Amino acid sequence: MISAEEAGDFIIRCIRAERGEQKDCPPLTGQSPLLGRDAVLTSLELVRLLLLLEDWCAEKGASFNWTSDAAMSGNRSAWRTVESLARHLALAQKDGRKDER
Amino acid sequence: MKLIAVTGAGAGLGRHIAQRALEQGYEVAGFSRSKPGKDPGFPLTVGDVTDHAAVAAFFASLRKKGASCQKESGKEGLWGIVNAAGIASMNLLPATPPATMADVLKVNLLGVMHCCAEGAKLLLRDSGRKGGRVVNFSSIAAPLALAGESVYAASKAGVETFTRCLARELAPFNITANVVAPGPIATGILRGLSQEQIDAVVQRQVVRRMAEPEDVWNLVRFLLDERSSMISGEIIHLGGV
Ligand SMILES: NC(=O)c1ccc[n+]([C@@H]2O[C@H](COP(=O)([O-])OP(=O)(O)OC[C@H]3O[C@@H](n4cnc5c(N)ncnc54)[C@H](OP(=O)(O)O)[C@@H]3O)[C@@H](O)[C@H]2O)c1
Repeated sequence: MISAEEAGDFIIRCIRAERGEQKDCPPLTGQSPLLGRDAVLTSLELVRLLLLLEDWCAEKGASFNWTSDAAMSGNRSAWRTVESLARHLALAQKDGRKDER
Repeated sequence: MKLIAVTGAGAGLGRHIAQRALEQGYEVAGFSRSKPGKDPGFPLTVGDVTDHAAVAAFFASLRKKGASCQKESGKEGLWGIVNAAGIASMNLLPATPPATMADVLKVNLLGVMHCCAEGAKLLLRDSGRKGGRVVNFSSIAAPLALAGESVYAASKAGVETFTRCLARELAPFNITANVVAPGPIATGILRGLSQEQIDAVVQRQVVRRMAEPEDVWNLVRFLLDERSSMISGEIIHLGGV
């Protein structure tokens, strides 16, 4: 099963790879925003990150469904921050397993 | 070789587009409700665009196929999606059965949404920063607001607005999305209409002749072209309104 920590590390690695070395960017943390004015990714990069996460989960035999009615909601979206996305991913795996039982 | 996915490729305009695209050097993958009697000359998956799981499985199979043979033969992965699957119902509204209203909206609008959502994901993966193309179908029945076509025209008006929004979402990825909106063309979809009814619509076009499937291909070919990267969010009326 994928843990939130593992997912968070992977997300940060992907963002680093996507952005490259940018000197004037604040350091990436769990609280780094993925949506809105201060987002650390452009919308293009965010979609690419979600596709990478889908592939990463598939490699681990898990599935990651990123359709969500709240996806673009400023205060409810699972994509708000690195940490909320990582937690959403870990939780989705747990819920998926419950369904399988 | 660029891959084009064509829905409604079993008959009519979809089949013509798929065959012409193949002749012009594209790789083609068709998706349609039923298998045509004669071999269409390109791989065709049988499925219903209203069935989201079937659409997702179709694009997943293209992804798998692309991954296994891309390097070996110069194949470039998915470049374009042409959503030609569609149905029509010509009837006065009070005489239209509710089930028909639902079917027309499901196939013409929801089906396009399913294919664009699943197809766009693959376009984003395959095209990366290179881009891609989405071509959807409307009809001049929408801008002409034809009596007897309220449900069909509403479904197509939906496709037009949907595509304009999608074009904005996909623009940062260099993927264009446009709509081809023809007047009447002699395919199965016109069955049930008299020549007189068809002529009456053609007379309302700017160009007062019935278009041919080749006229549609001419426009689709143009939109699929790499050089058409500045054209997006447009609705092009074939025949003119
Ligand atoms: N021809 C015209 O006069 C005209 C004018 C304006 C706009 N258009 C639009 O152009 C597009 C193509 O029309 P056409 O003239 O080629 O019609 P057509 O000759 O009737 O062909 C439509 C194709 O779509 C397939 N299809 C229908 N429902 C489907 C579903 N639920 N899932 C998957 N495939 C499905 C059909 O499969 P089956 O063979 O199994 O039915 C057929 O292969 C449509 O969107 C239509 O609204 C056509």
